[in-house]
Amino acid sequence: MAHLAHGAGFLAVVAMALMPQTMRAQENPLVLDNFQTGAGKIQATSGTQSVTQTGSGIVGGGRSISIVYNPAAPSQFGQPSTLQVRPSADPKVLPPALIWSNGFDAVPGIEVEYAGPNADTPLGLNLTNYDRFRLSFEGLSGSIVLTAEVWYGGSFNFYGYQSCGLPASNIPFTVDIPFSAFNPGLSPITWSDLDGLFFELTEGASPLNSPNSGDHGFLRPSGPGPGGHGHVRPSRHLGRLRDMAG
Amino acid sequence: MKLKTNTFAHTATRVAPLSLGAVSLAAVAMAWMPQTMGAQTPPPANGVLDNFATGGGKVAATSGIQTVTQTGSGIFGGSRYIQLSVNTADPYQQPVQVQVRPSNSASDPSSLLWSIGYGATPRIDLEYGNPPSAPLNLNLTGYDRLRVNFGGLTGPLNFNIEAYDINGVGGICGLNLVASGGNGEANAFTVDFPFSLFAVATLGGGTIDWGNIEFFDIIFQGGSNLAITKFLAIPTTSTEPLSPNVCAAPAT
Repeated sequence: MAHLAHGAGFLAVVAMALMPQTMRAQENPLVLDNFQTGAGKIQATSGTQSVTQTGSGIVGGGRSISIVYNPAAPSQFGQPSTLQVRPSADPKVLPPALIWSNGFDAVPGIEVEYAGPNADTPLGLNLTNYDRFRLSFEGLSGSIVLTAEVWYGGSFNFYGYQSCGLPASNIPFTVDIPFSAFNPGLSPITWSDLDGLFFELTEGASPLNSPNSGDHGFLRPSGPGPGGHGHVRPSRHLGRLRDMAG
Repeated sequence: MKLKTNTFAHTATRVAPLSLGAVSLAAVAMAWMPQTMGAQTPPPANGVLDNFATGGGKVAATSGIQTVTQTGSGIFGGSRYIQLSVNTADPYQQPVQVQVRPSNSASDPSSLLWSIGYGATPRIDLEYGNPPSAPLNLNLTGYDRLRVNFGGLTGPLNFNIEAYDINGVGGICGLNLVASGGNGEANAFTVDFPFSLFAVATLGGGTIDWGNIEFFDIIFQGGSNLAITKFLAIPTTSTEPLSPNVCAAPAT
């Protein structure tokens, strides 16, 4: 596959997976989403656009994807941002992918949420035998901040989070987010019973320079205090970008 | 830095001197025509050939070629033609859009905007004067360069202008540009195209008659978002300094 031009566009994520704790077991990671099922696209020039997609290749059977503009920073020039899950007829030639494309001066964020086909069903996901998330990128044309959240407590009561900055890359790369790096909510994270997974990607410069390891980024969810984030789960996470940037 | 030299190899979808073959034929045929097909007109006093404040509209594609002709009082000659070409081999077939967006706002001025989807490798031909039916008959006597004002550029761009006079003599000048900032924070800048640096590319050679220009093709090639806000000519007597970004003749 030819490497992509390093200019506009934005990114293509080709898989989200969990990596087991042992090297031998790593030969068989648990794929959370390979974007081969649940096709579709959304587009926005302001505000928020969301869609819930269902498919057999998605953990919990459904994903919700959103484009979220900060209300204070819409695209002045009205250029589009699009987010597409694009399955592939021949994954060996071109992988299926989640593709984010931003027009001139468009700087929204995107969200990808796993919480069942209706976006409100606890996954009951047991990750006891795994120690990190892995996102496989096909390319990234500008720097972003990636934030991962795990929701738990049985009814999306709490969430733990971790952020990292990613520089641009015109070659494929992976990002690992170790479970041990997550900041817990009001209660310790129950990795044996997760309710939902949430990933947020925001365009912009990053203070970090480590493309391959999750670390504490500069984005920080608003909450009751250091180490104590116990928000009730907001409905479908709409408007979370504004909260996260606070 | 060597320039790409494939601009004349572009496959045109209409009668226009875009391909080398087409240029050659046009040059031969038009050499027999009188040199004054119409009255030559100088640019407006401010030198602006297009400020993108009139003739709004857009074209979009994920593959193949899309074209549009836009008309407006702020366009020298009355119309501009935009041809958007998106490589059919682009892997993810993401959308590419060209929009002329008039505006009264200083923060988002009237612009031609190019928004490019992930992995796309498109090209724009922004053309003025549609030979042979509507030549510009532009008299640039007293001017010594063309200028394009960018509102911003987010990545690399191969950028060229082809100019043809009424006799069919055509030349090209171009350069490779780098980003002026990231998306949402790209800075404005200018690019100058001195007449003296245009290399005649049509068969038979000759000299471009800048006193009677028939046609311009402004060519953008790359995968970068951008905005341009003006296309203008700069008078010889201007005290405006030369832009740091100056075109060069293509490598042979």
